[in-house]
Amino acid sequence: MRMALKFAKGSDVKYISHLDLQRAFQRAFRRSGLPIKYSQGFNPHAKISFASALAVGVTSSGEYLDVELEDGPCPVDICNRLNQVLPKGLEMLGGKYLDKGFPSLMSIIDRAEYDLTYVEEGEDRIGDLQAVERFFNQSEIIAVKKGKKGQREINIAPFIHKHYVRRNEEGIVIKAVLSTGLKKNLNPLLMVQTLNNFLNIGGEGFWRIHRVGLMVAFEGQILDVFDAIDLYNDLRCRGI
Amino acid sequence: MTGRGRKLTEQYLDKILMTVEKPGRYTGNEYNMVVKDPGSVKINFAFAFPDVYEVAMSHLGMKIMYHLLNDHRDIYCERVFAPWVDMEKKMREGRIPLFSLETKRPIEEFDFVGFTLQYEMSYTNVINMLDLGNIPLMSTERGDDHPIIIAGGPCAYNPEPLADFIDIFVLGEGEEVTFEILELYMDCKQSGWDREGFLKRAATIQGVYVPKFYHVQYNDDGTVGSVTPLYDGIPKVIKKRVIKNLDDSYFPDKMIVPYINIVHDRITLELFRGCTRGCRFCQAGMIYRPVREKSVKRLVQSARNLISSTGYEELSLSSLSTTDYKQLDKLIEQLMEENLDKKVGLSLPSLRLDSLEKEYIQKVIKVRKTGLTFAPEAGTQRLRDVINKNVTDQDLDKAVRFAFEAGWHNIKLYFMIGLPTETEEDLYGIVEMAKRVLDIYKSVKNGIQRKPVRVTISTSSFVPKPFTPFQWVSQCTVDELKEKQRMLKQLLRIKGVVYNWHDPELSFLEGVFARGDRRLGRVLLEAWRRGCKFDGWSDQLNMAGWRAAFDSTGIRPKFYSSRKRPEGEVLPWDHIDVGITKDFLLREYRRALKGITTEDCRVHCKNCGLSYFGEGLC
Repeated sequence: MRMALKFAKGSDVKYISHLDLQRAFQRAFRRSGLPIKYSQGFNPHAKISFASALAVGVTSSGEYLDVELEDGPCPVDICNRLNQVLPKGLEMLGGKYLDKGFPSLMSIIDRAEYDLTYVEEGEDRIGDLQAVERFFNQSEIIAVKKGKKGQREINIAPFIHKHYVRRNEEGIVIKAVLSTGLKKNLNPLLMVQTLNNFLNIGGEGFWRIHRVGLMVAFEGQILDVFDAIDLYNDLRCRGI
Repeated sequence: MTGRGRKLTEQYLDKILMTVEKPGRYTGNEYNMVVKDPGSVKINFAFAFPDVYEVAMSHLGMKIMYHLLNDHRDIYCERVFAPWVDMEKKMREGRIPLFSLETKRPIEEFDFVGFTLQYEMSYTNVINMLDLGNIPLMSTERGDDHPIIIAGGPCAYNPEPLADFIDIFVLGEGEEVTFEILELYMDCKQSGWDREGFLKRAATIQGVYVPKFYHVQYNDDGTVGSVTPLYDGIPKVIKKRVIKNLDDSYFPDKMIVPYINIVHDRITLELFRGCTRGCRFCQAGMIYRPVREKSVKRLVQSARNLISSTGYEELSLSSLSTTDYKQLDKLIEQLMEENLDKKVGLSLPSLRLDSLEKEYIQKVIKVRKTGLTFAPEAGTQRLRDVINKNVTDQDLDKAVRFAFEAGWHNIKLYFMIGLPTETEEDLYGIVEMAKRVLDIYKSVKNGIQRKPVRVTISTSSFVPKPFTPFQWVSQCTVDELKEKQRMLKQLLRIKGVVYNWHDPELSFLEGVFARGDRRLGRVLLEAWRRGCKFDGWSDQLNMAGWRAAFDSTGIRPKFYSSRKRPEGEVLPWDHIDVGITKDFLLREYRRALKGITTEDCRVHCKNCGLSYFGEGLC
């Protein structure tokens, strides 16, 4: 039985890397006693795969994992049982049955929505919203990506699909939809670093980043993950 | 200050954690972390491990004490570890005092800061942590409002090098005596707090050593003349504490499950304490006596509880010599039955060479990439007899043959160099062993070698330790050790053999502090001022700083490392009683020099002195 489960990663665990998060879920599943399927071999692992890696330091209210279980508990039960054994900061939010034929979540993730807050401190402030708008309105936004082979310049403009800027009591808040997934991917940290350079900020203040959710490209549309699963099941029921 | 200090720390952490290596070291909030309201308890205890998170969290003693203390409703025990150098820099820049992982409170706000001393080379980290915590470094500088600095662990058995910095040393197993100290503290707090008064009363508890209440007198030649208490009613000799019945003693049902990878990331079950093998170089084998085993029933129950409370995928059986556990076959059988369906792997560290013949052990150890490690310790039978490591060449041959037949092609052999009476012959013996292992591989594989064999020869440098039969011997100098390593490097240039060695400078420093006296406190302080810390990490060891520290304090390190002590000398730790007598150690020392072995004392009592702790305890 295959299932997609949605979870949140809060500020208590935001510095946990993707690898560490995977291990934390492996152990939580063992604690839960849920009838999860294990791989073969010397070090059997629960069959769990994550839809998308979240950057270190980023919180999220919409992460997904794809898991295989023996028949038995329904998605609601599974979430409840996991919530009893998850560390503070991780919380299951819901789940849906997945047909065997449904593509892996990882392969269809296309975008993610983020809330990015610049917490201003001391003299380190963003003057006006127009400056931020100017950043996004450039025809090319050149970011410097540091890789194993050194630095590389890339244009990140095509990876930024939507943005909305406002001010609140802490500083500036940007809502943005960014390319995410195996084909095109923009790490929000790279975007804010580029913005820091553009605005000449980043001394006293710092960015707090939250991923609101993940979206998939499915049947020619950009959809919420669970909506895509519903659509698939719907189409299948109707024999399409 | 409490609320505000904590809030500032949390805010600042948000800003800096993205800029340091492995931020998960500083965030806490792991599964099974204990959460209490600090205001609701009578004692806030910071358990301090003077090394980074990954090392600290691998330590079983900490896990036991953490949950034991937290099970008490009047105590909240939190953890505090040494920040890595990058984090320390950020903390000092932001004036963030050293804080606990649980509540992020500065450690100066705690009632106790309790250090565990596992390794001499962590001493500068103890000082550094006190400094980062805004706590006066010297015991005599602390006032009524400062935390009590308490320390235990194996290095506390020679407490003298740290005597200036620690208020209370706890000698021996901490499960009972810690509560006696904490209860006394609660008493004293109720009846008008007076730090000196508390310390004086604590000094009368068995296993408690308050160094500032003892005067050390030195002879003209620099050796210790005597150590005497300054007050009546304080014991002249401090006797260690022992848990009599280990099977009834506390063992946690929970353990914190870290997020980041730690050194030993698994459940550890403690099978027994102590060891009766009597290897003469081994301090653990002497100071943790007597041997006390836990029952199979209790261990299986612990395993069951810990597997379900942690979700760990691996369980390891721990002790000084696991295969000496009397009912190991029964234990393994029951654990395997329990855990196979839960997909929990079993691992056995510290296997003796002569244990691999047993079928139940063969069943457990799986062929993994990491290879098998054996510890012959010395290259010839003569030297193995000197150190009383009772294994033979035949044991090694059999074990290695078994391993190759079972599919391993990676074998690691562990030796010590610089052992007492060692000659070139003994080093050639190491080389011969490596060659013989290669020959065995060839004969097992019968010419058909699918995978290349790898024999790793690893040598550490012998460090004489207090409370061992070798506490009187001279340690090899750095130059002598380097020469031995150079010779081995040359002779082990053989296809299929890899040679690893330890930094002799580090072994030398370890040797100085292991057998040091109270005057070394000045060197520690001076070295720390010159930036020495994390000395056990080869990329951090700052020998120039250490040499300058010795020079400026006028203390000659060789007085402690390479000076052979006369049998009659008063040793700096003679006022500590670990159970075994100096007389027993002396007898063993003399036998060692004659190359006479001593059989396992389970076979026949050797009058080591422990019987005085109570009947049937060894």
